[in-house]
Amino acid sequence: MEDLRCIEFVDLVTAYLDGEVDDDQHRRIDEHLEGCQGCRAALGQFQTVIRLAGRLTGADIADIDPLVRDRLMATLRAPRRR
Amino acid sequence: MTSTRPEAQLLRRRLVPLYAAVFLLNLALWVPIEKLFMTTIGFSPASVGLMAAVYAVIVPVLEVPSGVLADRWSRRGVLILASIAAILSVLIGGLSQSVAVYMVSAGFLGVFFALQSGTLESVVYDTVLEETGVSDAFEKTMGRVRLVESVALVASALAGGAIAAVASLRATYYLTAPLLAGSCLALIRFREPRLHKAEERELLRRQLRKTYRTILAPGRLRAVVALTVVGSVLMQGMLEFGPLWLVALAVPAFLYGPHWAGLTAALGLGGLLGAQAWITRRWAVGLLAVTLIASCVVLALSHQALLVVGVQVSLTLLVVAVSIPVLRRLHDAVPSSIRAGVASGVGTLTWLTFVPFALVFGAVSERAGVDRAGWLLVAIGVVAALLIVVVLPRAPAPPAEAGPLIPTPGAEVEPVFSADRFLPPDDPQWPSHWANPPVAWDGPGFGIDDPEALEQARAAIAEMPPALRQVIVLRDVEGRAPSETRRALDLRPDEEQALLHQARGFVRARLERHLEGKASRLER
Repeated sequence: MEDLRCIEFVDLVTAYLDGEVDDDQHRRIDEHLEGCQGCRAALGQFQTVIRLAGRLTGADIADIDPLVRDRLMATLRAPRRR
Repeated sequence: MTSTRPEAQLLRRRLVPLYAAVFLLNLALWVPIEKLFMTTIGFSPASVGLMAAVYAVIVPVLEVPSGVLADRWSRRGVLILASIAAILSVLIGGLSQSVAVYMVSAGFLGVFFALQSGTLESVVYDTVLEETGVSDAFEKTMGRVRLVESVALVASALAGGAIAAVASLRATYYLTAPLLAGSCLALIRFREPRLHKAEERELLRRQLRKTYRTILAPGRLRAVVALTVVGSVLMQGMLEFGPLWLVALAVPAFLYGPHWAGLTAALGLGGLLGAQAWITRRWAVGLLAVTLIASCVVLALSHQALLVVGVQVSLTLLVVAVSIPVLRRLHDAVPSSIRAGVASGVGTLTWLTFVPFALVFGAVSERAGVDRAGWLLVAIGVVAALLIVVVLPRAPAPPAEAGPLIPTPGAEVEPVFSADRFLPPDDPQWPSHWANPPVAWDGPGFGIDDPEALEQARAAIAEMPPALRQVIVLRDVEGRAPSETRRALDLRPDEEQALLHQARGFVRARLERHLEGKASRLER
């Protein structure tokens, strides 16, 4: 199988982290990461982004404009109504 | 790529009844003989002017209310009402024995135009959005609608003359009625998009205020609205005043037919041209702008009949071509709940601009000749060219913040890592590998776990397009499961993944810029 290219990996980061790639693909990515410092850094940066976002609270994003906030609140409520 | 996907096929199949309705709606057999018929029932130049005035009052007064009706009630319903108004218009027109009765017919035609304008393009845009999730296919679809319209206009111009010759002038009116009834039937078979119903109903007053504010508010929409208006004025100008050049040049009568055929065909060909993706590239935009000004200048200077006809046709073609991507930019910026209202409002602005333009143009060409009046076109052409350069190269904005919960068109979002950070795909040693790799955020000088980084992440989430924001908020801020997020936002798994990836990439890029700035400040 052909080696994964970095430009392909950066499109797969989120799918990889979410476990949404198949086993073959997962192996290819793991092999690639082993030898590629740049892609390891890209992966690490995405993990940092997720960590940072997880530390934000509802109050942090509540001061974005009211229209979006209303909709956000509505969508956040929606699943609970079910 | 999109054309092979099943959703593109579904879209095409769903639109077939709409195309049929548009075709039948534009088969107006009476148009080529209208002026002749009007003189036989006693119209004089003064009463023709009066009729134009009736029109000038009815259309703009009804435009926005009919658009709001389409937004609140039903797009398809308003289009069916438009067909019914057109049926009344041709029946009354065909029966009329006097100027007064014909005015009533013209009044219903005005109602038809007001109901139809803005509503048709809205129904096209929402169908594309509902069927494919993005607005990328809008230009192609709208181009097809223009083509269908233009084929119908050309066909009816030819058929109308023939019917008038073998039957009677009135017959062209009567025979148009069953075609319009067919258009009603086709519309009934069309499955209407429901996007404008997705949002909660607002008070009429609030909806009207939102509609007008969207049209008139300063901001990125203003140039788009201005270009729509100026382009329509140029096109209307060609259709209304184009033949005046032929009169002034004493062109032989047989050239009038090809001239009119050329103008109506340009409506369709312009639609096809406007659907091409390259039309918004910089070189194409420059070429469009220069050709547009040059065409207007030729009209003002030339006394060569063939050249004048050719330039009028090419000018019409250009203006229609430009209008297609401009329409997409207009609709991308407007939420579905006020879409038809805003589109109709822009139609009103066009009307309000065209009437004074037509009066001035008429007055100038009567006193000083039509080529002098041509300089008015040059002035408008220059304004249009400037607006083209401003509006077209800009990528369409992501769908409006008040819009339905739809993903941002994928093609318009910048890649998570820009292409210039990679080696070219034909690099002999490391094809498509890093040229400028990201660095790990743990070295000296990079403190990521500080309030500053948190603030950067918050700011990035606040400023990203809403379609991205809602996904990252649910997934990464709220920590909800992918399946729950998909359900809440009504997204397919691949859409949710793509949006989340873009959103994380957006935050990542901002953090990277921030940390690089900090590092370079430390070095100094």
